[in-house]
Amino acid sequence: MTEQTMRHEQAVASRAAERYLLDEMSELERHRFEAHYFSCPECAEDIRVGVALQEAASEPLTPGQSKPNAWPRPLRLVSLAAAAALVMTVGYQSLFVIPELQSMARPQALAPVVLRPVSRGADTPITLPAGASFLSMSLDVNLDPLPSELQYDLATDQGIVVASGRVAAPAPGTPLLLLVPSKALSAGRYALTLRPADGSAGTLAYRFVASTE
Amino acid sequence: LPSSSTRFEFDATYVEQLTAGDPEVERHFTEYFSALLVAKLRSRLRSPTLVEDAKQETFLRVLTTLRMKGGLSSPGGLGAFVNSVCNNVLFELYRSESKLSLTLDEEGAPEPEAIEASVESRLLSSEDRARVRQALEGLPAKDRTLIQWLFFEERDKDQICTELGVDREYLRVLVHRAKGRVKQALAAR
Repeated sequence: MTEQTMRHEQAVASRAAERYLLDEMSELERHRFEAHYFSCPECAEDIRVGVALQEAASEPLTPGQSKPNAWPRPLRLVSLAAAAALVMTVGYQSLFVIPELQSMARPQALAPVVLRPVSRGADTPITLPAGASFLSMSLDVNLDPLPSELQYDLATDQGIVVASGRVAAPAPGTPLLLLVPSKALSAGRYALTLRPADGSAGTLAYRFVASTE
Repeated sequence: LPSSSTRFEFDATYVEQLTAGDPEVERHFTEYFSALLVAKLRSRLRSPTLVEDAKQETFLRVLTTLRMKGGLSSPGGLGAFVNSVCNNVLFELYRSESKLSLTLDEEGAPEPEAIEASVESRLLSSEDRARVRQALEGLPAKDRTLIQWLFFEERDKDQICTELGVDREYLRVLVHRAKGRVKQALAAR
């Protein structure tokens, strides 16, 4: 599994702040760097200074010049591909890294399967879409109080862990979007658990049975 | 509290005061995260108005959640929490735009709002702005031109490189150096 957050040494060595400000990052890398700089005082300072640079330079340094565009280029258009990529990285940030995402340049429609925590009853049936690179799932997270971070584990019914890790909890009332690489799943029963990462009480279990098209 | 433009680490007291609605801490919090959120939102939203709305919505949700939950279990996770809430705000914006069947493809995209960033949405005070601009004016002529072309004229970066005979790495180094000047100018307040 790929890391969800860039490490500080990686950010410094790869001139991440400069490439971010110059809009040279893929959506996935941008997302990883954002996950880092929001928590890293040093990189946060770098970005704040960079934004100040952009703002000060958004007017002509030589008086009398007129601005050809009203807003920095990246703002003018948001392609559907970029929107889809963001949607995917929100899900990615929530749970999984999808290496294939980096090469995904065309628009993708998301129709997540909604999963709710189970107390009893039948497992939710899920059909693994043929040819799709991932399966999207929307998880209701009804923990109260809602922790800031969640630990997730996805395992087969034989107890084989397919994926696990930590993720920031979604805002209250909003679902956690989960993107699972199709390659990670095959037909069979699965259990996904979410619990507070700080070890406090409360575990949510989502069960589903996957079948192929 | 130190200036919101300087390096800062969040501790339990800070989060407690923010949760309790301390006006000074709340002001520091919004000033500290404004630039970070603007940097994140600018590349993904089409207008200054949307950026400002998404930023304000993020702040509102973060503060509401903190007060509802009575704080954060891990104060050091405040930045990650703000980023996560902003991701959700963006996700909902895209979803609502998709429901409205807005054309987002580059060929048929609607024209952007023909407005400049309002004075209110500026992150720098007029004094800081003047200081930073003065610092940038001290760059060598070629570098000043590059900065102008990058952030004022928003020219294509490959064309900039060809025209001035530099490579992409030079642009990164230049931005790094320019940031150093901006940092010095802001620290000299």
